[in-house]
Amino acid sequence: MKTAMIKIENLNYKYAHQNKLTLNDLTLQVPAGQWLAIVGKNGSGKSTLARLIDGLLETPSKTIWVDGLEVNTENIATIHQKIGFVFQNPDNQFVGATVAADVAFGLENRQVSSSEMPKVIEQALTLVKMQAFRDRAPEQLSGGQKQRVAIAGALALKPQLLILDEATSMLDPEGRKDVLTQLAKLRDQGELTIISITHDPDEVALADQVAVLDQGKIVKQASPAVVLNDQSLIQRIGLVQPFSLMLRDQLKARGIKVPTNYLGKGALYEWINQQLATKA
Amino acid sequence: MDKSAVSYQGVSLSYDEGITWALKDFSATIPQGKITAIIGHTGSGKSSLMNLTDGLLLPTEGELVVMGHQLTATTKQTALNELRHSIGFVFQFPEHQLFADTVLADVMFGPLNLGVSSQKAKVAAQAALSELGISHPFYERSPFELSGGQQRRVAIAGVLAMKPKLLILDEPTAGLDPDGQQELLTLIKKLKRAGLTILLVTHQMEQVAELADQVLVLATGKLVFSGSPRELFADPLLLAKHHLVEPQAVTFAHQLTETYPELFDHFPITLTELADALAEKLRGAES
Amino acid sequence: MNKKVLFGMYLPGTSLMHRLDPRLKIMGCFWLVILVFFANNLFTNGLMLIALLGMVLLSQVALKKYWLGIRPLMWIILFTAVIQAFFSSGGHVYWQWGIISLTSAGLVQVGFLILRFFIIITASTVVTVTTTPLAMADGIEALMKPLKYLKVPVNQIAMMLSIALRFVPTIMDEVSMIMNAQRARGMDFNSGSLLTRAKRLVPVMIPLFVASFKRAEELAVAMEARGYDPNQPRTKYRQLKWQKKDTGGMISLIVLTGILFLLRQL
Repeated sequence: MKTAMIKIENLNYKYAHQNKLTLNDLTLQVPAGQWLAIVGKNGSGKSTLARLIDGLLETPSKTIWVDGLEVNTENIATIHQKIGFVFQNPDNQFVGATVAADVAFGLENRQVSSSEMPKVIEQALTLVKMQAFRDRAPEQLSGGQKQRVAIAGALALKPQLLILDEATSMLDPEGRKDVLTQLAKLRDQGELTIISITHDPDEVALADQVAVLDQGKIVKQASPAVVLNDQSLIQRIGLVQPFSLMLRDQLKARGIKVPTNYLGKGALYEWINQQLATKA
Repeated sequence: MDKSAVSYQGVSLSYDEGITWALKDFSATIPQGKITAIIGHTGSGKSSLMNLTDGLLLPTEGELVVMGHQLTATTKQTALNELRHSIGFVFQFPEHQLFADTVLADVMFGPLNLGVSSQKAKVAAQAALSELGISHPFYERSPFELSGGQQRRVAIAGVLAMKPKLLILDEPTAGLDPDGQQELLTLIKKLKRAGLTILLVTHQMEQVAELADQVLVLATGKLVFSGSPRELFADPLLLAKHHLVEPQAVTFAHQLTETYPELFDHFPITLTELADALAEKLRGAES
Repeated sequence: MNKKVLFGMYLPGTSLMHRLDPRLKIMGCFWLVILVFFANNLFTNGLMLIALLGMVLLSQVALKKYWLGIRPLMWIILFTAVIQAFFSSGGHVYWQWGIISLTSAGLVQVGFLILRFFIIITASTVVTVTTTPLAMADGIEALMKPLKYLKVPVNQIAMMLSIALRFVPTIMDEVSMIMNAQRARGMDFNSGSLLTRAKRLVPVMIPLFVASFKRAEELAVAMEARGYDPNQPRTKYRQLKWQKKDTGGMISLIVLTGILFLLRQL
């Protein structure tokens, strides 16, 4: 049995300038080696939750544990070491003067020796296919490329947990596919626990579990198949369905008797293929 | 024959006196009342193209005619100001240009610059705001207190309040949640129906398939494709060469045609078209 | 995106001057400035000019580019020189009016003054033109290290410096983007009185400040998440490596100093 990488118990959180609780009595567990997608409307508290896990806001005492360690000011340095965090805005997390220097920033903070750095940087940049850009300055990169560098910067530190706060939103579709495939591989090798905050149904489909956040509460936690297939829920939280389910529902609306269970792209394709074959 | 809103004739642009070219020998026309999608990666020259179209830059060589105004390397500044009266330009992340104390004052900024009376500017601002679903209680709020999605809509209202006839939109849905994106796409369709000519810069091919009448693809400062979205998505080699990802409906349809080459009489590029075509065939299959 | 190159800014290249250690270049520049004031006669000044010419040639940057960079400053130098010429005394008097006079000693002094200014400006330009801002920051950081013992927060200053340098292009892009956006909204930056023009900066400055504060906040959080702690030691990815050519450069400077002091005796 795998232990919980993250344990959250009865977490309440309120910003000083607001009257309402941003997070309301939230309880959640993420087993090590799992990928949890967090979905919900903008303003539902997703980013706040992610920041509290990494101790980037003042985490209320005895509410969050990462790898068995309570998130508090005393443990904060160790917590940061366990977690890699990638933010939404690619420009505002690019510290280095070049791609390689930016990946190096985290390594320098960890006091990795300068002779070891080039190898680690090269590996991390290869994971996100940015090795050809290592000497480029940030202003010579697109938003998506900067975002990949940020992901490389986080992975270079070999975190146990990777938090992506809408980190793939700036990527072009091709780049997004590349990066997500790499992350799924790391997860499958059992090396990485992932929390990704996202609006992208394809990213949700890659996760093991989905937590649906609405007004500071987790209103549903289930497999992607279950969540994505729940149309009324999806609509309420402003998520779009994956392509296969949209097509399935459109066909249904046109009077075609399609299976009502969750269908991936492959499964739907197979089904249509079969139907067409019976005609031929 | 469509009337053209913009025509580019051999337009070239260089920032360093001809050593490198951001745009080279670009010729195309933008039909009036239609949506033209512009696709290209960072450095393809699409930002330069938009800045030229709004008269924010002048061509180094060649000329362009925008809404009847001819622009060349020697066009005077005053002529450009006049040109901008009929063009609206929504930059990427337009919420970054908000500055006024109140939402209403910010939206009135554009019309006031055009020299209309403050009474008229107010009317125009209110109309634009309600078009974007920003209601009365927000008018006197500071734009900086609003959510990101609301700020975006206020900024777009600030451009629409100038009542442009040509609208340039640079990645208008970037960073919005799916609801916000959908609202904006609906608005774009509505603006087209109202007769606006729209230049839409986007990297989302679904939007191209859904909205565009014409597509221009740029790469390293040159025009590499011009035609309808259907023609573009029917050309897998071109797509691959320029690292463009076809819409999911197209991929799905292509997969099916591998087994059934004659499946579609009219190749579908959007979800609705795909569902229509498939439903017809599958109904046939059931009977 | 106005890509006008200001002179004094780094020009990419691979010349010997480009490849020298930034510490040597910064210290060497300081040293030359000091030496300039020890040059007292025709021979010593001639020597300094030859040394300077050597540096300029080694940088493989066109002489014309140096001249374009120095020319605007020449006016200031000439103005100072003229004042100096008329208010100094000694030697043969060519012309006099009240306390204002033009003398032979004055003219010689003015000649040296112009020469000194010229050497100082050109020497520092050679350094800035051949050193990336980043290498400059690294060099300054390394040279400031001894100040640690005086409790000067050298690491933090270096971090501030390198982040500031990192964001200069970003902020320049942002300014031109905001200006374009406001011009697209019908604003005219080019006409009207000084006051109205100043007022027009408001729609540019406010969004710029808002963006900068937001950036500062987000950047701080991102740096914290990546384990940055200003009070902890850090290793360094970019190592400055002192090479043979740097030792060579230093020896050349020492030799130059020696010759200069010999020539002073003449």
